[in-house]
Amino acid sequence: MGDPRLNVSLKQLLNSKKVVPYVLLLPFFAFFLVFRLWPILWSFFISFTEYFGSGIKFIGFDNYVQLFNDRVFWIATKNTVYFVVVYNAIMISLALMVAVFLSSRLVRIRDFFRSVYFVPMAMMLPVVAITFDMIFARNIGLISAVYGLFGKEFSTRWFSDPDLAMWAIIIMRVWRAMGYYCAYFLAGLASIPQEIYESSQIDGAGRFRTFFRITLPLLKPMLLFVVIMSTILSFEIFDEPWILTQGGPANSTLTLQIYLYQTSFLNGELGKGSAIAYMMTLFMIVFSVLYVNQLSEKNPRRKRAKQQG
Amino acid sequence: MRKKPGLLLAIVMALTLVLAACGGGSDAGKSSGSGNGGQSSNAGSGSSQASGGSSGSGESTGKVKATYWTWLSNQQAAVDQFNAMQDEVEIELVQMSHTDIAQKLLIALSSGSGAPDLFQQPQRTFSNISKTGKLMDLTEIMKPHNDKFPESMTSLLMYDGKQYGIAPDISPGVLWYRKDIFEENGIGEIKTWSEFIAAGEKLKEKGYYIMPVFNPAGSWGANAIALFMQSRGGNFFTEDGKVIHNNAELEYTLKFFKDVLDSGIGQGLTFFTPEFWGEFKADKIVAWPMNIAEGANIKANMPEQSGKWSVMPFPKWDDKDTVYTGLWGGTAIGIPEMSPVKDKVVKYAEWLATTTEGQKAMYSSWGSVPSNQEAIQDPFFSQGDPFYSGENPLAKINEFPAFHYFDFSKVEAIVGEQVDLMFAGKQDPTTTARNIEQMLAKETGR
Repeated sequence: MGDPRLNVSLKQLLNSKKVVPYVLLLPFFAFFLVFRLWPILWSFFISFTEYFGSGIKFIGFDNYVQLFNDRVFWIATKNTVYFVVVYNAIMISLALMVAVFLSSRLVRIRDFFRSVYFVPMAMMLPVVAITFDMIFARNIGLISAVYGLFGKEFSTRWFSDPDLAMWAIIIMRVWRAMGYYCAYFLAGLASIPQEIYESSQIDGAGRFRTFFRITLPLLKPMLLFVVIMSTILSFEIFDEPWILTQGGPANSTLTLQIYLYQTSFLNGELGKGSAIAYMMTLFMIVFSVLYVNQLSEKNPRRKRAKQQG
Repeated sequence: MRKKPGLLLAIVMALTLVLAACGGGSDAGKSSGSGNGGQSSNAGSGSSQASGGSSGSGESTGKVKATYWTWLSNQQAAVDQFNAMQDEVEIELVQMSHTDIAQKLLIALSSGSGAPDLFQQPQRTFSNISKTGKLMDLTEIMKPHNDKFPESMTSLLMYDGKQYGIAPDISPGVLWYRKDIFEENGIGEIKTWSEFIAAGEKLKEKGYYIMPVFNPAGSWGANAIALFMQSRGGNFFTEDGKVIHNNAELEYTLKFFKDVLDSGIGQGLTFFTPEFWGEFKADKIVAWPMNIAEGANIKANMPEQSGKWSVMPFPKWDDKDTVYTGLWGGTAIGIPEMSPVKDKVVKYAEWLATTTEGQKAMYSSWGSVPSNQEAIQDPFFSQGDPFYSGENPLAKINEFPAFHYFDFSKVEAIVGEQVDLMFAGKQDPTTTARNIEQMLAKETGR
């Protein structure tokens, strides 16, 4: 049974205040190592190889060089950046406006409206995508039916026009996500003390001035959080364009995530796919750093602007 | 004493995590987007387990279970027939889309676990799987039978001189048409494409479309271009895999589709959507030059139009002497080398493709054209179908010239993109053809 003194020491060790926290954290670390860290390291390694599922061949930076010379990769990058910028600008603005509107005392049954705006987020994404496809469909869709009431024919084909397809995706995504981020802004607005608004009213500040000089600055931490979270999530956009357009027409809705999927799982080029994943990570890091830098209080330009303002 | 519950809790949590990681979804095998490697109680206890092997759990009959991934769920009848006629293996069909199969299969083959015992994929992209080097070599098994199959089809299943797939069917192009509407408008048999265009102009005046056009094109459109180009004797590549430059047949085919769309005799829309079938049901689209397997889709989606449809051979191009058709493709069955029951399940693929009985079962279940040129001579395949006004679609197949498939996933992507730009009016067919050639050469290295 072993040395009893050793058993007692081991027991004491495992039950000590210093050790128990680590024991409790151990499952998380085990999970993280196996299912998070290991795939990250492995995919980084195979991004330097030619790998189709068997027979790894080390090729150095060839995959990355190929990507730099790959016009489809840059089309996907351009589309993704375009989507991220346009979608977030529209969605965050609308979510903020709706949040300010819903937090107004003039609005009755606010709780009902809050629930209604949140419902799209609770719907399954493929269901939303297919529903929008039906809405935009000619002859049998909702928009077509409304046009028909006025004796007109709905001939615009959103998902077939390279100039419109991405906008259809943006509209759908804004509709779905707005309520979700609105909830964050509502929480942020609720944390702003009412006394500040009362003071500004006494000082004669109007609604717009109050919004831009008081509400927005005090909402900044929540705004920064929403912007970063939404940017990262929107960078990974896959479901909507894949279900509706498969990245078409003419690659106008091809995103980096779709290109990664096609390269890895349809063409079987796992090494190149991993390289795409790492390039995406790099872009997201750059975006996040830019955002934080721009919106940070420590930004010298913002500091100067504030002092002068 | 107070510390012990904490330690116990940590152990329980760790065990829970390990068990959760090793477990699988209950419907992973059946749903197209979930699970990995088809680990599923519904998928049977076949090879799709984390250990990578079939459970080999014999039932009281002594049969081992095997998992078969395919998108053709109506193949179940053929599978049932095979299962009933032998005592070695019970094949369980797991349905998912062919892109899902490709994705899951590549992961399973590269990881060495979770692969099915056999799978089905389109012939034109089969090389994506065979180049992994993890499929069963079928060269010796198929050697005695290969003279029954078109060489151009067999070549798609080869990689590095060995055969890795068995193809039970091919899918050549025919012209499906609404016999009642054609007769109403005095349109008889169409022998050439210029007659087709003229018929289209006549029908357009009455508000009909003579064909749907892939718009957006995507990979489906690329395959339509390939089918029509093949019917003209054209190719993207030479026999040894070099991109054909200044490809006159490609340019001609692109111009044909552009003219059909711009003239309004063809309707541009996304294929196989509710909107697409709605146009057929509403009697707006009254003909469809497409592969023969779409006959089953026409039946399934427009059962109320039984007896109104018919079929004729692909028309002849006016500037060509021979009347050909093109191939949409066909399917191929492969067997992962890691399957512990590979020697048993290969018999299904062999039976399905090399025997007349198997070819009958294939035709009866999913309606595609038998690839076995010997079996197709059987009188069974000369019966008419009342849905198609008593006509037999198999009797309307022209010969088809060889078509050389290389890196076809990339071909689909490039051709689809360029055709979309052409249809959007951003470039003409000549520029589209030259772009396709340049991009193919650059991205495939051919």
